[in-house]
Amino acid sequence: MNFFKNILIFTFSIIAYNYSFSQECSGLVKICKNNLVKGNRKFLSDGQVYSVLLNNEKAEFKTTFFGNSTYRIAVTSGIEDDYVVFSVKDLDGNILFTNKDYDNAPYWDFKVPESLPIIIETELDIDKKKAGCVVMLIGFIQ
Amino acid sequence: MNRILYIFLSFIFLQSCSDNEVVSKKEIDKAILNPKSSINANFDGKIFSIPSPFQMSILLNETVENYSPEILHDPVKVEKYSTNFSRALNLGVYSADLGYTCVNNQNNTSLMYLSAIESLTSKIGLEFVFDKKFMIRFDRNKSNLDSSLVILTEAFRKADDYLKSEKRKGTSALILIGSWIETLFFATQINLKERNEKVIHHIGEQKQTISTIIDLLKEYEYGGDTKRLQVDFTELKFYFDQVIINYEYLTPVTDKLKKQTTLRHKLNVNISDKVLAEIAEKTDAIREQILHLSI
Repeated sequence: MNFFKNILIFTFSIIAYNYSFSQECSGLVKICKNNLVKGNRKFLSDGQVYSVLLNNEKAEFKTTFFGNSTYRIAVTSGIEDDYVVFSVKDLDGNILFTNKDYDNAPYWDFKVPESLPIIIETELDIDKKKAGCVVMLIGFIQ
Repeated sequence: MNRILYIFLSFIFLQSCSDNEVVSKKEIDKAILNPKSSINANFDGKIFSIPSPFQMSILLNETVENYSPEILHDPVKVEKYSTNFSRALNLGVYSADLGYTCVNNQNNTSLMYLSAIESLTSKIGLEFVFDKKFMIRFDRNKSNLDSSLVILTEAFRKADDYLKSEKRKGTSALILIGSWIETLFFATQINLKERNEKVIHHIGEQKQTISTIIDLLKEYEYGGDTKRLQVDFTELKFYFDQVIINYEYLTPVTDKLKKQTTLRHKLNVNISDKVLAEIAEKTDAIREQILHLSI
């Protein structure tokens, strides 16, 4: 019977964890959405939600910024604005921007005269938040 | 006790079977189990970014004046899609068509595509996104392009958020793949009709995304004819690999007050006519395959 009890406790823990992760991320999307249109309601979402659980590690993904566009990257990991550090790099690894240099700003705009494939790298500022869900949204104005 | 255990395990089983997808739980668990891990994680397991189909339509609209309705899929065919695989892919196709009609101010046609999208979303559990409230809001704002694009892109973001939170990332990926191939089809067909260097440039810029598409197809268990799609997209990548992109890095300029960075690099895209024709032909073939699924 103890065996079944242990299975139940273990499985409950996994479900509770997954549920709380999903709930945390869903709540953060609303905050991130506000950052996406702060000061300029014309930014159109790219239609995708990028979310990840971070715990002393980095997350990255590739995308393309198209020319003659202005992009906004918005991030959040909670109520405070400065939990998340994000950097934009080209495929050669040159850092084009990092919000670390600007007090971990929760959003930043990129004027893109010519198209460019990029890598967006994200991590938590561990001095401010140790672990949690990070949500990122990308918007554009043509 | 046995009954409780049975009910409980059934619940677990149902949870794990949702959408028949391989979910990235393992990656999340790894992060939890190894707090000192410094291995790079990927957003949503292996989800990369696919450019917005609406943005591609806007770019094409800025470059080419003429509206080409003949390049769109027929919205009447929507009822023929009978599997989740074909519905998700063609939802992507119709989303791109909607974007194209919208940016070309074809309001009545847009409503036809919206109706097709509503029909598909109701069959894959996304009926709350394109519900009556949404339709009324869209209808009221359809004459204002900026407003209607905000409403539409928000709706697709809401759908993506829901699918990912419900661990249906495979469905989300298929929608993105469908929309990407449709916008690539627009660009190749518009260029075939009348050669346009800017459009050719936009086609070449998709080189990065084709790798993402292949990664997405490998990542999830989609059901349907995934293997065939993988083969076809790999063949398309073979042609894109022959696109030459020359990049010159120049230091960007950042304006702290405006919270804005201006990129200053130079990027040159070079595609031979032969490769361009091969990309156009393969794109057409993949699209045809998607359009004729379950028909």
